[in-house]
Amino acid sequence: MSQTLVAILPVFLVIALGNIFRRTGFLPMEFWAAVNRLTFNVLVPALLISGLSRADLAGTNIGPMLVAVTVPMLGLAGLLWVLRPAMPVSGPAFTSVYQSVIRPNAYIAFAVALSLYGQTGLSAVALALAPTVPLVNLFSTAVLARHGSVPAGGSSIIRQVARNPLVLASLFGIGLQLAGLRLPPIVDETVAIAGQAALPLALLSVGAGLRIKAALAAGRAVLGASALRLLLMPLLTAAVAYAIGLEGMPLFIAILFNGVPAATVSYVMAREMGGDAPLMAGIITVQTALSMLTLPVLLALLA
Amino acid sequence: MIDVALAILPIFAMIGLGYVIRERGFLGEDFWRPAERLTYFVLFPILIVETLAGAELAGLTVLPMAAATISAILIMTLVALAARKVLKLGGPGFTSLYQGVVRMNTYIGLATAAALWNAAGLTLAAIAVAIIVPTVNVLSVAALARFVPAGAPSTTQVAGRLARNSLILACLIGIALNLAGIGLPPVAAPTLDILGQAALPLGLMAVGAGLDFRVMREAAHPVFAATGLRLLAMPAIAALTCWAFDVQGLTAAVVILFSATPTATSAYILARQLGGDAGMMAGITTLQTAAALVTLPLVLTLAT
Repeated sequence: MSQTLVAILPVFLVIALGNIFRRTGFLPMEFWAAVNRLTFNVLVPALLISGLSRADLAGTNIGPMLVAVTVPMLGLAGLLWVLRPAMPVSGPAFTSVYQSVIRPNAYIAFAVALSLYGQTGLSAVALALAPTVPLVNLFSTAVLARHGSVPAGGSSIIRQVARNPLVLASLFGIGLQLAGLRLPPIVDETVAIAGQAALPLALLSVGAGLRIKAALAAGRAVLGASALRLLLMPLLTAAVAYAIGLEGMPLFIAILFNGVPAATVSYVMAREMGGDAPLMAGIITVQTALSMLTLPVLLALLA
Repeated sequence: MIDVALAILPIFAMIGLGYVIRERGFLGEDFWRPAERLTYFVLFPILIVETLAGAELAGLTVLPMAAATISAILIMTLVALAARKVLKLGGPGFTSLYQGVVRMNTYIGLATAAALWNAAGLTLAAIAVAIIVPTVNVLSVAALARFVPAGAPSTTQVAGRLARNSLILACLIGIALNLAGIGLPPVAAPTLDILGQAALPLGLMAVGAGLDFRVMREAAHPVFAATGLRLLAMPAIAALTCWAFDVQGLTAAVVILFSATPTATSAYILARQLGGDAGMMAGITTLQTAAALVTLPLVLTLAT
């Protein structure tokens, strides 16, 4: 427990610092939009390529880990879709709840995994991310198209999903790993240096995206979304993982990946595609705050 | 030579990345100023505190190292004054030449020391920063006050500028934590570790973003003089002062490394604020940074 806590607490302190920097105006709003562009398109892909090409993944149970990650994700996505008519919320509000349940904040997962398991942990999260990001994007897009307030152009979104830099970088890194190749000497080091800036900036930016007012204004939907995301999802993940005999680091990564709060990028999607953006901001904020407690407890108990 | 070049090239590749991102306008102009603020006031001080607080300081010959470094800076001050006569420079022009000769790019210094000599190099580099930053700041501000009388700051303003310098504060805090035997507390250490990792990549990219090859077209004699003095003469002088004060091994290599880095990008800000020749300063910074790609591996190969 204490070891996990020591790995998790600093991650949240950095997030809190990002929030303070934004609120005090030390780093203005326009800066954070650029930071997100830089981390998403350049720095995090660099981190993933360098991590995946250097990691020692022999002995990591990747197949079962992916099962433990995706089955609960698909299950909850389907459950929400089925239960939609019975839920007392508007269409746009539903899309925000839905996104928050299935879209994990990979940056937090990367930071915790890196701190506890080094490059191997980082790579295991990247392996979980590569197949789930397209899936999550596809589902979120479908739900936003059906229930959002803005009709979406399907083909442009599919193109966006196909070009997701995190997925492309993971695939490239996995390719290098499988082929037993490294990047050429100078490129390898440069990519590694660039990757060092990825998580600090991404975590600060997660904090800058938190909205305490939106969290206070949000209603019961937030609590439901948080319970599903932070409790039911990791519990289901543990159940599936135990059932298929997953243990050790892959078990930890699966629960971590499905126990982190909703990704801050959900807010951008909600805003652009007619979701309930203020509710999305509220859910992300509440989940991020609550996960500071739920994540270490669940990981200590289950993994 | 090849080993050294291989270790240094990624550092210049990061600078190049910052330059390309800035030129392409990928992040917009709203990114770089706050990014520099974040790096200069938060991330870089954290890296310094973290490095110095946990460093093994016993057995380091800090005093001779400081003597060798400061003497090299003072000798180069005399050389710059002589160059002023030869080049017949006006006051503002001289201050830019002078800043170009004595200031050092701490991002490149730290990144190179870490790449070549790992933790031991990083610790010595952080100590070098603690020696260099106050010295060159006092001298640069004094030069601006003496040669650009219109914008002269008072002594209290100079003292205030130093007291607010985040790098000097970070050095003091780091050394205090170290000497008091406190080090860094359990949760603080990994938190600072996460943040400090971003300091060098972001700092190097900001160095690149500050380069302006357009001003290079107007580059005149003072720009070339400042570059030659800085990148070639100063490391030679530093090697001499190290020998004179019996500074050897890795410590001497770090002193020579810093004396061979291009000038600090903050020189431009100071030139603009205190009435120096900002255009010339930008030219000097750009030419030195580009030329250091060749001279730095050369100097380090000779020095080690």
